[in-house]
Amino acid sequence: MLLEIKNLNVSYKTVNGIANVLNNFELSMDAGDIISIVGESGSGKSTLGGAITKLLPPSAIETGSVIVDGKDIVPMSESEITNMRGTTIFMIFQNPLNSLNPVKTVGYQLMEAARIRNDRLNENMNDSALQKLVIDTLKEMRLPDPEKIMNRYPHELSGGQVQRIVISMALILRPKLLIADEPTTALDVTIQAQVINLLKKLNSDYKMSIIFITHDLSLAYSISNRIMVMYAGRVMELNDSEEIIKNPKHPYTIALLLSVPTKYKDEARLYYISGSPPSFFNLPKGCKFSPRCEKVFEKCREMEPDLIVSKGNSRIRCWLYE
Amino acid sequence: MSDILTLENVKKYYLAEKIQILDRLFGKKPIYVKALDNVSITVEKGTILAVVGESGSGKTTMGKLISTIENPTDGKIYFENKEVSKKTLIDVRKKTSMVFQNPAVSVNPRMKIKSLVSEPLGHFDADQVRAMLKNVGLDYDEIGNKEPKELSGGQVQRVAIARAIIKKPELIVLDEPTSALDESIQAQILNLLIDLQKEYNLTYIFITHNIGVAKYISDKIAVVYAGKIVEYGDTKRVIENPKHPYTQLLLSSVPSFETKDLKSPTGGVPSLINLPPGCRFSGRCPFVMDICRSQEPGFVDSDGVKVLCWLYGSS
Repeated sequence: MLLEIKNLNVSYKTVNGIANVLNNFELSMDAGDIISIVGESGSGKSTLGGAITKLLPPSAIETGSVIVDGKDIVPMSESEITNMRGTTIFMIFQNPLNSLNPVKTVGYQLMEAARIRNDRLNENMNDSALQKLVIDTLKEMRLPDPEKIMNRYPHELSGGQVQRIVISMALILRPKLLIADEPTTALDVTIQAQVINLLKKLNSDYKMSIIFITHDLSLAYSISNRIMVMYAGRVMELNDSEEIIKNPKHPYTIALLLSVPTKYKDEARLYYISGSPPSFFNLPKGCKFSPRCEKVFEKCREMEPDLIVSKGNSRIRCWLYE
Repeated sequence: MSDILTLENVKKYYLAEKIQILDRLFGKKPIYVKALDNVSITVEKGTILAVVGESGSGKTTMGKLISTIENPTDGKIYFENKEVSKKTLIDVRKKTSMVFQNPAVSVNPRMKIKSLVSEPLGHFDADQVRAMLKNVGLDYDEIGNKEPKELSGGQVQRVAIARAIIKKPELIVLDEPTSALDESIQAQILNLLIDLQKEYNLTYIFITHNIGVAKYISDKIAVVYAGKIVEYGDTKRVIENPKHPYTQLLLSSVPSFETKDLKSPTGGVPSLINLPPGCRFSGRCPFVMDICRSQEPGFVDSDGVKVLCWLYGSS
């Protein structure tokens, strides 16, 4: 077991009171697994990513346990978690420019990563060997002219190139767990396809586990083995990606799938979920999706269903399947 | 059906850097970014044209030229069969409007919703604002006195659409109107746009990088690559039987529920300053031939779709 999250609660202290975002959250993941987390904005996807990397803002209150590679990171101090970041946990953000230092060259930052790997794994490589490692990695990423790119600053490269630099950093550090928070949202579809194929390659070549956070269900399907659908900070459905897409069970998953445009306008009108996701300050009683659900009945408004574990990997939170 | 808009060999070049007087004295040649090069297209009234392509391909420049925010460097634009010139500009602007990608930054954050919607009219007319807001599914009494920051992204985009249609335009340029929104909100906006288009017989130029959205909303598709339209035709024909190698690769890089396999063209879009001679896609094309590297192809008709590619013979 590479990642085990148990009873995780995350809330934010704000001027309007306390917003309880993640509530008794559970997830476990084996090495080599790719899991996608999908949901609308404000469903708690990024908070989950932040909780696993311990990158939540200071206003967050976190309880429970997040065990990564045998160590619980929730009570860890900043210096302890710094030692795990990079080689154990690595996070890729939506805007790659924000994750690189704008006043240092790309080469400097990649070399920094290579030195950290060298120190932690005691590989005893000298600088020229490390330089060669970095350049080989850039070549593997199919970046043109790796030697030239090393001397460039992040702003001189295109968005797709910068994102590939960040992924090269992951490739140099070989983390056990990679968390990608909407890594392709700012990119073109053609570059997106390249990035997705690279991530899949990292997974199959080095058994790197990936948590892929996205709002795009078709993208989640193309990359992951399992898909977790989140709503209002709760897991609504978790299953093999094939099952979720071909045979969705939760009304929210079904509605999300139907709202993706795949047809022509004269064939069918697009389905949409009426209303908007609830605010964390004012969550509805009972099932959090009940005000927008088409199959809602009395019980849904009264009591919140539990996440039921059924055969295999399947989990669902809905009274219809109780 | 009559044509509402015609672009004839339209070019738009931007200066890559400013040329100062001294530079000119020393005979420095200006360097141009060829954002759009020889684009010709005709749009019929009451249809939706989707313009798709990667970033930096010239989609937005095309939208800006059509909505007369920018003037073409060369070539002619006809609106309702009249050439767009300084004389006709006011008339054209009355009949066109634009909706932008990010709803939160395209409206004045300090204005109330009711004034935002009535602003294009030049005077305040509560009844008309109420009717327009109702058209886009918003309630005047509830949000009329609010400011944009108090609304959700989807609601502000609705306000932007109400603003665009209040003057009863003929043509609306929509530049990525749904890419900042969640999928379920996107579905609402797309349905709304289709309803409004039918009700007022509007013409849309719908700029998007999302092929699924383009497929759903449009009647015709124009695929743009490095400042050129490379394929243009009926949406169904282009999607089901793409002719140009670029369109084929673009479509296979779109994630779908049918396959987990994504293919993509290698490399990136060429620099628009130093364009390769011959076909602009030749550097990335899997079917590249000798002629592609030396000569630019012309438009060829293939099964009712116009393709800019040597594979389908020469015109």
